[in-house]
Amino acid sequence: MIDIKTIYKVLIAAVIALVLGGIIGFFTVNPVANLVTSGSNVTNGPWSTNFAYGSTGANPYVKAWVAENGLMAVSASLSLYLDAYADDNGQPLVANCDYVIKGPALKTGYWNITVYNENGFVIANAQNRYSYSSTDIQFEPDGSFIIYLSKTLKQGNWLPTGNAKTLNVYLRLHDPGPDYSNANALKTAQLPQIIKEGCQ
Amino acid sequence: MKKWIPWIGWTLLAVIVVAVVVNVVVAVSIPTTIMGVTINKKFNFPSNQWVFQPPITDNSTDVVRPAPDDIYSLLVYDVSQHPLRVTSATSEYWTISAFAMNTDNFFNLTSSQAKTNPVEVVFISKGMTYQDPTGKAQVVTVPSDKGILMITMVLPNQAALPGILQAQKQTTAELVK
Repeated sequence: MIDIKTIYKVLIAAVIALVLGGIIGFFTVNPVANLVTSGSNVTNGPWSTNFAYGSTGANPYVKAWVAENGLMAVSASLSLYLDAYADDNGQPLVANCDYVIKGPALKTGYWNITVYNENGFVIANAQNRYSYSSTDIQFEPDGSFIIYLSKTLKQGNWLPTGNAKTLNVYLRLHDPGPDYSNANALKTAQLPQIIKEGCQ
Repeated sequence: MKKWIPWIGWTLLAVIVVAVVVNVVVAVSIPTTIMGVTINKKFNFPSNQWVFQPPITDNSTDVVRPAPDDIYSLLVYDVSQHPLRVTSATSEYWTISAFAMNTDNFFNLTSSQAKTNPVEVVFISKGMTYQDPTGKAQVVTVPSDKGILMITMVLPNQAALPGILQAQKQTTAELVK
């Protein structure tokens, strides 16, 4: 026969477990999703991507992360999205610094590079210039390219960083070729460098 | 005090189990929840009708990290009652992508893969069958009766914009009754 004290103890324990466990479980979802996603990311220099983006077989935490940070991401076989939040030295990209993105000839059907502000939106500027692509960028004679990220006017390919605080650069590779088609290939592929030139 | 130690231990274990279960359940539900909010609040489009998005500017805040070189057309599909036939003229870099309610990108077709121009795709619910009378359409069974279709047309340069916008307007969607 179970006594009344034991029943009370079990009830109290159950309530504590449900309330405390529920709160902990709920508020740790995003940190766990960030951890799981970053743990499965493929990186190359400042660039990072995840071949599970948009995939029907992705881990639930990766799907949760993508839903919050890049809703309607298509699968990597169609378009590969690489993002950079830091320069080649691992320092966060901030809008009061000037950067140079130096890229080799990228082996893909079409690509573009876009800069976003800390909210994930394109940055307002008088030139209405938010990105460069393989079809509208000025290439160097050897097929490489240089893009300047700066608040102040630069000659050549210039992405104004306007009134942003921190920056996020996206490299989209549409119809990515074999050089980027899987994690091993991507880790060793030549991707653009992001070099800090100085800060204001 | 000693007699409380086992209770504390079991309670902690129960906290951990509940935390793990809640964590997984919430994570699994996030994509569907966000899709639901996007469809019902952010987009708020009528179902099965294309909405032609203007070129991306700094005022574009419907979705994070939109690609400024892409011209988007969006459609909230609902094939619970009837199949949906979509027709679209393609451009050099053109893609139609389909997303289920859990955000899975379950279908893509690019202009290089398309056998016809304009492209015809018929989306049907699970359990439905459909025989395309023209023989030209690709028939796709959707994993969820509701979701989003997105057509992306790459804008190679500003001079191409009028042609791209004209091609965009030729995109149609109709329920097959």
